[in-house]
Amino acid sequence: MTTRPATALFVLLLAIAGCAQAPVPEPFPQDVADAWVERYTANDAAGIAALYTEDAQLLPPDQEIVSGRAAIQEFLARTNPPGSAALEIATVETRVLGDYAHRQGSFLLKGPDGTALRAGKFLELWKKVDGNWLIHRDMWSANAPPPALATPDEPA
Amino acid sequence: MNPKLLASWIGCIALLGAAGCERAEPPQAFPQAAAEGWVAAFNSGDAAGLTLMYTQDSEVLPPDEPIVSGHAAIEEFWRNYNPGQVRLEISEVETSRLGDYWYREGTYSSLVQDEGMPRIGKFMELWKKEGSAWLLYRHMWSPNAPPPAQMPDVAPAA
Repeated sequence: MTTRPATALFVLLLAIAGCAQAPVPEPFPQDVADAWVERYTANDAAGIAALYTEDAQLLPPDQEIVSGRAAIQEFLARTNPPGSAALEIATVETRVLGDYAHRQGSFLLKGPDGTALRAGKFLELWKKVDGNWLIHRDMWSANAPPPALATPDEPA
Repeated sequence: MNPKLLASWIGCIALLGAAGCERAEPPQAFPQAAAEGWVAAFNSGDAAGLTLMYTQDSEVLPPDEPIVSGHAAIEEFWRNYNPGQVRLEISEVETSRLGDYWYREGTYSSLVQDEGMPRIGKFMELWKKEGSAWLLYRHMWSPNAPPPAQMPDVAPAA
């Protein structure tokens, strides 16, 4: 008869463990975010594209949505060729929400001499696919309009 | 304590615990009425009404402008944006429940007065429940083409 309380206690512990597991979020996959920056710096478009889900989307400013890994790779190869401005990324906020995660951050594009070219912000939606954290949505924009185009009435 | 009685008590607590677990996952639909209220407030030029649809710690991330944080700044932003002069429509919306948040994405079409063609763009939103109301926590969008002002309307002289 003494096994009965033990069995019931086991069930109770299982129930508590089940409850306790749900609200504890796992840490944000910072290693993947760091890999993105390393690969961007190395102008590795294929390497960066591999960090996105198959059906990921880039939502770039002043351009149409870029859908799918192949199109993302093509976009990155075109916009980040060797010799591009250096990119600095800072994470402002992360939240892991089940199989999704949210990240907000800021970016700074720097010229070869270290001068700041453009600053901006981004929002990302991450998704866990087969145990791997990947970027699912990636939207960014600058904090100011692009430098004015040279106009004909500008002094020579 | 009598082992049988103890087992009953523990069983009872386990069931209560399990019931608590069930309650932790509210099966709710996306707050569509709030989203529609946002568009209605925008199209009627109601900057104060728009502001009430954001959480206290909300941030608006507009294109080509710095982040706008908090109610006072958000109200000023929308007042300067001059809603009411712009007719906005939302389409191709997708929503996902993310824990205590709702994620929404979609496209917009905004017809600015004195412009013949609507500006098309896309948006990402994160919604959060504050009290009993679902409100915007993060709100970001951008057009699919540069705004008309940035496009040179005449070819530069050679």
